[in-house]
Amino acid sequence: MTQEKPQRIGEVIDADIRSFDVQCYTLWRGPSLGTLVRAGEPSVVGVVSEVRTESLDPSRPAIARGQDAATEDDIYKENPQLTQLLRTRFHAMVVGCSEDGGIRVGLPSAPPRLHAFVFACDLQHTAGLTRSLDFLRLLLNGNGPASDEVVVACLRQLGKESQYGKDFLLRAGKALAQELAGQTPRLNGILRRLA
Amino acid sequence: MGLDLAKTIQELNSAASGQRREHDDRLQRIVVAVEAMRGASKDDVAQKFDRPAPRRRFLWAKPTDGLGAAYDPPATPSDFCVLSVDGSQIDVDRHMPMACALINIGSCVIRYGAQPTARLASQPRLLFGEGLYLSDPKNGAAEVPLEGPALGLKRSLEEMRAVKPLVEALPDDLPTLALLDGTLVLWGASGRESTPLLKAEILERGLVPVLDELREMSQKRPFALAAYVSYPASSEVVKTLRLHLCQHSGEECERAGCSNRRSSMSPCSLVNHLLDRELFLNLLRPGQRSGLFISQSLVIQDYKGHQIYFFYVHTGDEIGRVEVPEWVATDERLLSMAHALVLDQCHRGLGYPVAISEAHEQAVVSGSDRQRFNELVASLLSRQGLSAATSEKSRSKRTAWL
Repeated sequence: MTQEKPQRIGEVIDADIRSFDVQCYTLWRGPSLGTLVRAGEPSVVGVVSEVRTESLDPSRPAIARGQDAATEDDIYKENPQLTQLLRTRFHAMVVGCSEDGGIRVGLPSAPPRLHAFVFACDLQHTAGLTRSLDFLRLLLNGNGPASDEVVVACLRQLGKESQYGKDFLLRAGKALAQELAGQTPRLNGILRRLA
Repeated sequence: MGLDLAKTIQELNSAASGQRREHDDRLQRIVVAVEAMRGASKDDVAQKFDRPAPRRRFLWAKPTDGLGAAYDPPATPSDFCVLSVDGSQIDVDRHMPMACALINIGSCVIRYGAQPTARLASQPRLLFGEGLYLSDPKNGAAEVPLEGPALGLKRSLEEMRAVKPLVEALPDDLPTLALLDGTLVLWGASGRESTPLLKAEILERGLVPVLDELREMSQKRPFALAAYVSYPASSEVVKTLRLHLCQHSGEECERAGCSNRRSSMSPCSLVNHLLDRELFLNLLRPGQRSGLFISQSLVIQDYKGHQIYFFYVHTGDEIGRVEVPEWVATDERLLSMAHALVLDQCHRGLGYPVAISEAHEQAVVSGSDRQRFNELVASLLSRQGLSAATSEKSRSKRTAWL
């Protein structure tokens, strides 16, 4: 998240107000779970909540090919067309959008355009989110059993950024405690993972 | 309502019972026929087929070897390329508001070995206005509309034309096989269903110059051209065996009423209704290819010296038919390469050549593609302020009501 030059990861291929799907330009090079990404201009900011590599054509599922192969790389070496027929894509849950030169937590007024370019967020984009940590509410209320995993992955990544100070995870823990009041087991589960 | 399967099932049942009754007899005849093939040496068949060619009412193929010849698979090169081109089309639909057709050419180039890469692409081309007709440059009044079978021939020609630039983009010394789906014999370009103009445009001014260029290219680099048919239904070799077994004159055959489908006399009736693949499945071991046969199709007479040969190969899963031009068939190095790489492609493709199936995937125009194409035509016409009206029949098919 500290790259000087924005790193373009891929393009939006499906989008609604709450989330967007991105096809990566490079096979297997999807961002990690919990990464903050931004799409289009004005930017819509999301947190990566799923990454998958799949067949480009849904009617042609991948099949096992390596029974006689010595290594996994051999499968791709012996079937060079596979890399042309697969794609890596990811799903991002929207947590903010650019507004008045900064980033506002919450849903945008419109989803990002299809084919909008997607970049990993830099400090300028993440600062607005991390200040209040209100975006955690959107993640915690996200659908799917893995939403806590997304929260953990996102906070761990942000916690590694020295710019947010040593007390970042402490602030995050307090914010989580407020959001998950009455859900002690769930809160403890997340905090244990963050410790 | 669609097809009433309940009404069809009785007939299907009866047909299946008939197949069952014939099954054992067929298996026995195949065993005897294969033994007869093994006994037909190169000298035997040369004696029979090299004299003035026997004239019969059925299409046989001239053997260049003993009928039972079988060749083991050659070694596969360490670095090589297999490419394929396939096409599909949207035919002219007279119910549509604009006369147009589309040819979509898909291609697949796969390089194996030290630098494995693959390139998949498709290139659609719209035919409209004058482009929908083949015209005689010397006689403007003579023209053939490009629709139906003529459009199919044009597509086959475009597939063949797409091969050369793909090969030229590869390193000169890389063993390369261009593999087409189906046949190198453009059946409809000649004969009763064709016209002199169609024949001239598709063959004389179309395919023949392309084959000339490809032959020239094969003299400068290790390049072979082949077409592959999976589970072929042809019976040219069966007819050749029938002719080999026949002890009668052509006149006697005529009098006895021997037809293209069957002989009414012994011993040639042994092979009635058999298929080439049935014989070669019993004759070849996995990996082996048959001897070469020369197609006697009348269309080939218009190929200007590009004789088409074919052989059968046991891929391990089935018998495939491989057609090659004469310049591949008579060059041992190219023939071996074609044999080895077809086999390799079938193994990699779980029974069917990978390059052909990927080129097909690039080319295929699905039912929904056709619908979207038609909608696009209507939408663009409307934007131009033109009528996008379709026929009432077309509309009634799309919107069924009670």
